[in-house]
Amino acid sequence: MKVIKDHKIDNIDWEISEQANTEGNVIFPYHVYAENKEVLRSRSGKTGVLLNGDTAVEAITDDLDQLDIIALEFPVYVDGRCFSHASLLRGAYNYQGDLLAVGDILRDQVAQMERCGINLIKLTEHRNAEDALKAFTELSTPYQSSEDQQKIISELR
Amino acid sequence: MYQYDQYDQKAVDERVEQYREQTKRFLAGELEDEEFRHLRLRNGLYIQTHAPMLRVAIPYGTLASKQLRMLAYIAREYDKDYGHISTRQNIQYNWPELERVPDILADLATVQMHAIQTSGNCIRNTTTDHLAGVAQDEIEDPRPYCEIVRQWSTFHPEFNWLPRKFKIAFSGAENDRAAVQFHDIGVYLIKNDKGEVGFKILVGGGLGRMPIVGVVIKEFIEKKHLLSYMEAILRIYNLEGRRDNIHRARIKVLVKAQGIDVFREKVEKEWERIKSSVLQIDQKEFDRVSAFFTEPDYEKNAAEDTSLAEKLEADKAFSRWYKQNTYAHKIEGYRAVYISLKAPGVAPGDITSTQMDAVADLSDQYSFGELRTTHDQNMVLTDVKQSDLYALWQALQEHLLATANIGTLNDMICCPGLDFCSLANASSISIAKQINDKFDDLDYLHDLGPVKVKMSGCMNACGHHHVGHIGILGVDKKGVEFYQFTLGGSAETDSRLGDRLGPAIAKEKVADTIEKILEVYLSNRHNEDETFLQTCLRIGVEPFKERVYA
Repeated sequence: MKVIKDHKIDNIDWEISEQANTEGNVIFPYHVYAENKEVLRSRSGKTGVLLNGDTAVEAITDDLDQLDIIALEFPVYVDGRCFSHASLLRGAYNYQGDLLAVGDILRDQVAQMERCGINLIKLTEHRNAEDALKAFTELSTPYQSSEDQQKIISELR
Repeated sequence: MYQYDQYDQKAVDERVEQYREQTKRFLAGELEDEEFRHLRLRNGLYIQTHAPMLRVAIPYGTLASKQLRMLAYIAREYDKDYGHISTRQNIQYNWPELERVPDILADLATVQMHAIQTSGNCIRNTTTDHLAGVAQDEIEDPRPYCEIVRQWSTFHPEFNWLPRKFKIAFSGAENDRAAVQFHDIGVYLIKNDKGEVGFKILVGGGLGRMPIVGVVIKEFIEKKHLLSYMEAILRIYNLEGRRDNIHRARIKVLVKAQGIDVFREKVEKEWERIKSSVLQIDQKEFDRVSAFFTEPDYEKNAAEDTSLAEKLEADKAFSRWYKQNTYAHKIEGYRAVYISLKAPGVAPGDITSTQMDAVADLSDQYSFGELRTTHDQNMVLTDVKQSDLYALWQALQEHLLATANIGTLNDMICCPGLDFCSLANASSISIAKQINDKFDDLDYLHDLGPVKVKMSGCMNACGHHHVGHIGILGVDKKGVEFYQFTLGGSAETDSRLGDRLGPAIAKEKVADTIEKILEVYLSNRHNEDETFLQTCLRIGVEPFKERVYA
């Protein structure tokens, strides 16, 4: 899967599938994951789960140490719930694995995603990923603390 | 007032360049209309009936003379020579060219101004009492807290794509002059039993299609927890606010649907988790920001002046202006001076570039180089020595800025209406003119006392009609403009929504209807001290209804 990672375009060895028996490193939509949890534990590949904005992160917080990746699906780019989902997973639940943003994502949202703790971004196909890389450095120093490790203005003053 | 340091300046400069690139991409066809719409709105740019409209932030209504001169320059250089002060203390330009907006923003940045988050579904400009720092009834100056909130909310990564817009207001005084109870979050500075000053926090107030008074979510909270509590509220709202219907997406709908107790419980739980994090504000930061809002160098013997009393005695017009357009100051010998932007024949809240320059000069000369914009769409010079009032009045008169109508019927709040806005059903500006023309006798207006008329061109309520003592809403009936009246609303400490008078009234009858309403007031008031609002609440809407629809 082609994603933005560490401000570069990269490939990650993950696919999203609705089939519980898919092999390899697979991200399953939450309903597939929830219905097949026991079976999925014995898979040989790595396992991740995809949450669309409608499912609260609390649905998976008991399983966080078994999830290598969590995908947050932005249903439409104006729907900002996943920003809070990312913040909660990092801040409240101390999730250390990969956080991948998928769905309808604007070039001009990638820096905000990173600040909320999302480290992998799969930009919508028709949007220019190369161009999106520029967006990370447009606003250099933030006012508010967030889930990334950037120095904030009050620490620099 | 607050002065940017290198970090504040850099943040604003970078935003200008970011927006310039976004505009370029749009003009080059690399950004779809709808995508660009969301981006430009977050920088205050609407596309309206005739042209784009740019809303520039005036954080908590405070301006330096240098900034006002820049606003005047922008009106001249990029617009049709005037600006419009909004009910949220900002300034709007109705005729900028989309291509030149990045240049306007770059010019604004040179005087520490911007249009960041003045529109869009994000945290908007924080507003406050226009008499902050000088009011006699003030518990504490709210401006440092507004500035702290400004910084926290600027480019907040998590809350830039909320279900709907989000407005915050502060008041530090006993009398609410900032319509705090009609904001998504309203904050009052209060003193608790131990004498400590902290915040009382309200949530879920608002006007628009579903007007509602905010409810208390936290009776008292220590100052250091201000941002963590706000962040908790915003997070619950961002997660749970409705996104399926734009008209049901404000936080007021969520609070009403869940009930304040359930909503509070969620907020408190989240707040417990984050309150001891870096969101906690330390004393050093309070001190740093408060240091920008210290008292100016007031003259110690300003009250010894005797010239004011002489002028008041000698000049009736001056005395009328003094009574109506100046306000008590915490320092004896000083007054706060309202600059009326409601001169007859002028759209309420409009100010020309020449007037802006004049006000900037007068603020330098008479009020320490600062001024405020007000929720009622006027301006205030907050610190004028009483001995300077006469000269100031004369200068204001020359620029048509001394109409002695502050707080009167003619001091209307009014949205731009059909003349500019693509949503409006009604030409609010021409109605304002109709009212102005009818009630041009200042003695009559002064005898009436405070009557707040608020008018909106559509149910989105930008003119706050629900909370006018007399509220007027433009409605469309089969292509014809009609006007719906409400009576007895208030946006102050005694906040309440007005009661509907009856069926909507034809356009040409609006001023006549107001006249009838006023007749009922004058014949029913106990005495001259009973205000229109008090009479209205005492006798109810019926007597008015009988007279108007007789």
